[in-house]
Amino acid sequence: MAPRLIITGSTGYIGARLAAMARERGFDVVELGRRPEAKWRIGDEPATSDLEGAAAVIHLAHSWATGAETAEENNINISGTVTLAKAAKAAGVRRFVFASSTSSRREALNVYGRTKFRIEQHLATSPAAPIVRIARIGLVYGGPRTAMFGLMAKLSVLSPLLPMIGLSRKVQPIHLDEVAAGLLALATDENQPPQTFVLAQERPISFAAWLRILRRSQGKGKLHFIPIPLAAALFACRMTKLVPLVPTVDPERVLGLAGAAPMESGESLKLLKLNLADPMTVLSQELGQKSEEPSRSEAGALLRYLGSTPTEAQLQRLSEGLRREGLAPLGLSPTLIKHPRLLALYEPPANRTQHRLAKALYLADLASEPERQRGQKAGLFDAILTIGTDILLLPLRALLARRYR
Amino acid sequence: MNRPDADFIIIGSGPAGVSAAFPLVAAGRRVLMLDAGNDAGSQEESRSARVLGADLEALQVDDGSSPKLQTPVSRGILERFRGNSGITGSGFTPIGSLARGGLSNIWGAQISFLDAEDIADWPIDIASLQRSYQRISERIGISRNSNSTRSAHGEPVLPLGATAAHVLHRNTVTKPANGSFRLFPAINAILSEARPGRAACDLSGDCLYGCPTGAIYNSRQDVLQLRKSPHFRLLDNMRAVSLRRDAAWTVGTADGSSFSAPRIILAAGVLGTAALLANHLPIEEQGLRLLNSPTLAIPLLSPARLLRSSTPTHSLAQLGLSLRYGDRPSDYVTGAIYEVGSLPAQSFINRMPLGRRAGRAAFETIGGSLLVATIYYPGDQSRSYIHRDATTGKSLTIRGGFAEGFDIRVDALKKALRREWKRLGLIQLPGASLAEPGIDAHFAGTLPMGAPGPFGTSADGELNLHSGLHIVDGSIIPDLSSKYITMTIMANADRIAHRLAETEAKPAS
Repeated sequence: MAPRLIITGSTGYIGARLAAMARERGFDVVELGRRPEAKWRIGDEPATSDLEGAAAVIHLAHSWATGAETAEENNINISGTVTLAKAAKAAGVRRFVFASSTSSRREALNVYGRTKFRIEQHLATSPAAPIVRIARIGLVYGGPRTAMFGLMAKLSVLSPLLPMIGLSRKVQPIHLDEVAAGLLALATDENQPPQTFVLAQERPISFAAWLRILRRSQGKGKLHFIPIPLAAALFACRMTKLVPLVPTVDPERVLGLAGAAPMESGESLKLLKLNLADPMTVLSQELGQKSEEPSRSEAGALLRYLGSTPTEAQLQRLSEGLRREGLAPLGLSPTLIKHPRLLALYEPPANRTQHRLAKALYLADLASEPERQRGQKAGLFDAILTIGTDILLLPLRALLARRYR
Repeated sequence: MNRPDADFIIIGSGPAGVSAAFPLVAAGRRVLMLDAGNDAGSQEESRSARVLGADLEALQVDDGSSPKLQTPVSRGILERFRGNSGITGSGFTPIGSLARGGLSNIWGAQISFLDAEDIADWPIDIASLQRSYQRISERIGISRNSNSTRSAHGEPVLPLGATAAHVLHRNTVTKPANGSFRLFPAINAILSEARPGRAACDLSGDCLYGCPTGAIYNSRQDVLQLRKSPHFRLLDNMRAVSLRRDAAWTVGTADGSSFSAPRIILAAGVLGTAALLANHLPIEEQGLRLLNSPTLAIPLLSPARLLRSSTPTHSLAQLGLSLRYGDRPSDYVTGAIYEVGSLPAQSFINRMPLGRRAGRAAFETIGGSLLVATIYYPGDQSRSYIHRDATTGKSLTIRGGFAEGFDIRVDALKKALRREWKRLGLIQLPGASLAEPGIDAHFAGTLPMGAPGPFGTSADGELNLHSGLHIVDGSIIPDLSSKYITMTIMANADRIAHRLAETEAKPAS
């Protein structure tokens, strides 16, 4: 029987990915939390029957409903987590993984960081301590553009000039998939020592650098900042709630940024066998995917089809041209992008200037013009073959060309 | 009254404007030139910027115009006129420029000289025009295309394209089918030897993208020369929008400035000049007659030259031709022959029924053996009129069309030409096209020299009923011959300015 895994907060940014990954790896995932049929909310005493037989509980749920400085006994996150851990221990669950944060410090600026710290302390002194693993998670990025990550991704491309606080603060990004993998390892690997783990890049980078990475990976240029004082930022956050159509920024998050401090993650990563990817590379793939990437790979395919070896300048020009003419993405299939020669099957005559693919090929031809060598001649045989094929395939192409009209 | 700003105000920095300025400045007259454009538009951009535009303007889908007008250079030069002139076309493409140097930024650089017969109806004698031709030739620098490096007369020459050379050779060894067909190496305003500030043609074939070496004549170069004179003053970004006559003439500009002088010289280009004068002319129902040359483009294949390599050369006209195909005086055309291989491939591929890849292969294989002949009819084969908007009384519309019986003459011409192509070993390919009137900007004849009435001008280009208002651009050329007209417009402006320098407005003390 597949090992059973209980995940709280499974509808959240991390939870959703973790649940999906766990299922992919063959776990029987039970989601405790805010689902329509959910029987449990943070703070509730969970039913023993729900917990029994589970290999681990991964606790991600966090209630934001608690007031700023709620007394410890009334903070549902603290009491609720301890209650859940104790119940898990009692039900015979072997590991309780608590998702904490790198902002978890006694004197953290934001309530979130201080709460996480207090939860960690309470867990350590509770009867559940032997089964508890704490994962302090860095700045999570990647995947769906929601939560803090989504907000930052949006902010970074809003304008090349951004008012921002805490620019010199160090952050330690980690990809959503890596967090999920780390949490899963903590939940299932029996050999992990009962200690606090840090899931974050080893080398912290400044928050400013991080925003620049986010912007660059979305195909936008440089980013400049206007540093603003914390008080002004907090005021601005409160204003965002009043202005429609502007993303609302929780002051809690701003405080979280202001208070972030680097944590040593090297040992944790080694123990969990996590080899973190470079955020720029991953993000360029993920964020670029929707806008730039298909247009660029299509640009490359069009140029190669016309017999040129695309240079960076040509690719850039053509992507830009395609975008401006409303031709990007053209929607070429991956096979065509991989084997541009097949475009011969779909290409309409060049004089069909209203056809999207014909237009795109015209732009590709133009984009390669400045580098073209004058007087360069195709071999006669090649030319005859190309022209002959073109004529022979005409009826077929007339049919297939519709696809990219 | 305030002291006039100058002895002469010249409106426009195109070929006509600068040609009028030189003689006046040399005679010590104070000349103020108002230029709608400015110095922007450096010649030293990268090839990428010239071909595709600094802002990738070229990557806008083909608008169907000629290769010359599709380049970003041309778009930039023509755009402001389109937007600001208030002139629209109906069956007519109004071409004009508000950039420094005017239409010489995108001209074909071809040089033709009119002879005594051509100007028989003009109120001037050929000798005075020829003296001006001579002066202009020396100033702008012209070359002939030739097989040898220096022609028999010692004129500087540029290499002739291999296919053009082949055709020219055929023309000398075979007997012409029609005695009045002439084929000769083209004369272009392209330098074969460097001059101060201008390098010789480097044969890179980038002519249509704005000559980076300055080998092709552009009146911007003349403006630089003129500015060295203390008698010459140039004001940038001064688009003239109104003319007013009090004690002297006053020119109002788009930014609200005004300048006055006893004499105004209009060199804004035929359409620009018409727009400026619209309030002074009784343009009624029928409109103001505008001459323009109908233009026919004919693709030709030289089978003997298939798969041969080409000679590096410039990409403007290689050969000139003329043909009399009927008995009427206007049954006379002239033309230019271009080598297709040296022109941008895209505009040809865009018209092919092949895919682009195959089109490219075809172009690269046979482009070197293809020629395009552009044939110009005389201006009386067009029937175009400039109308004023009846409701606003301001904006102008040009309605274009062809003269009666023009289609019959087109057929007669095509027949005559086909015989000549056959003799020259050329196959005429399908796809010959008659351009929309106006697209080639060979305009003239709105305010002809020697004509009486409110639309006529004197031999000195002075508008009847408006003393002190002289016109030196194509507007006053009384009949538009089929020959390239720019050189003649320049020479006529030079001639008029010489007359004005001799007789009018003595130097200010």
